[in-house]
Amino acid sequence: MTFTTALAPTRLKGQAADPADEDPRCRRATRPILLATTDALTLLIGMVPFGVVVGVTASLLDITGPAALGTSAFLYAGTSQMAGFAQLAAGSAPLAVIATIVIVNARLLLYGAALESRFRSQPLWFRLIGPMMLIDQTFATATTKGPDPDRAFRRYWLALGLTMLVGWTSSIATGMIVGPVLPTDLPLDATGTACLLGLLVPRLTDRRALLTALVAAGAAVAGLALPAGSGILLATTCGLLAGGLVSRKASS
Amino acid sequence: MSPILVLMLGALGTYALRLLFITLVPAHLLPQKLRDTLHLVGPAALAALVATDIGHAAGHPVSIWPTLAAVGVAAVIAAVSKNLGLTIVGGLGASLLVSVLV
Repeated sequence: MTFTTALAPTRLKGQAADPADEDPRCRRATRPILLATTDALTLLIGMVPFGVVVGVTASLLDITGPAALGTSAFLYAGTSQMAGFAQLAAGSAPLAVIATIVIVNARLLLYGAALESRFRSQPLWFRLIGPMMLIDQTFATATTKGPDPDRAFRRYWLALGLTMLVGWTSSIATGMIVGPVLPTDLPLDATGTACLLGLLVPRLTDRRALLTALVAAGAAVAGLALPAGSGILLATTCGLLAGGLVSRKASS
Repeated sequence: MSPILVLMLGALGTYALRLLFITLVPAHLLPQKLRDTLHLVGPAALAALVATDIGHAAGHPVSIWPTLAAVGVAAVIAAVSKNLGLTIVGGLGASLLVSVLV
């Protein structure tokens, strides 16, 4: 098997060729990239302040620049990065820090499962590299706005993820540099909450989605005391169970 | 173990989470009952994240009012306009305004 064959799309026999060029939204190769860049810049309005907070936190906790910036690109998950920084600064055991990061990010499992259909017929290289850019914002945006044809989705996803990664890492660097001169009571992280809300509200289009969200929100509040973000995973699961029960009742 | 190595191992674990149901065990191989609820992951996870943010802000007297203002204004703008950019800017403006006033 040649290297080229291994990286080729896993298209089924008889399946139509990639219709990217036939989709009016993707007639030009640059169209998905432009769409993604616009979406990413909008999302970054909400993410940059949080990135600055992460950078400020890193400088306050004496996390070095290379550790903060070098890992932010690979970890690419702000909440878990903050949790990791806090645990490192508190002198926690390495295994505890790693476990915290993984638990906080456990919801990415569900995002991956929900987004898998968009990756199914993609080439192997994309199914290995693409998931690196899976975060709350790229998941929520790509499931509603990502173009359908495989090739267009690849361009959209990579442009969205990379633009946000550059913006995210830059905002952390900015936070580390300007942290010492920023007022301590700036409500920067409230912008991230507004961003998440902006992604959530348009999804509440039917009774099932609304019930799922309400149950998840209630469970998240009830689970606030749970360790290191595990409440978010538990709350998401509770919401999904509630939504699943409603659909089962509706179909029976 | 150096902090960079610890964070990189955390990143590796996170990558495995991202990869699992996309590449290693594709989600279409999961039981049908599970797959039927996957389209609700977005509302469930986003609602849990928003509620957690509000809950954590409630524990800090400095951040609760700006956060509540951001959430209130953002919810209204999102419901009316469904425009993400407007929602974020509205939330940011409201939180900054309230943090100055309170």
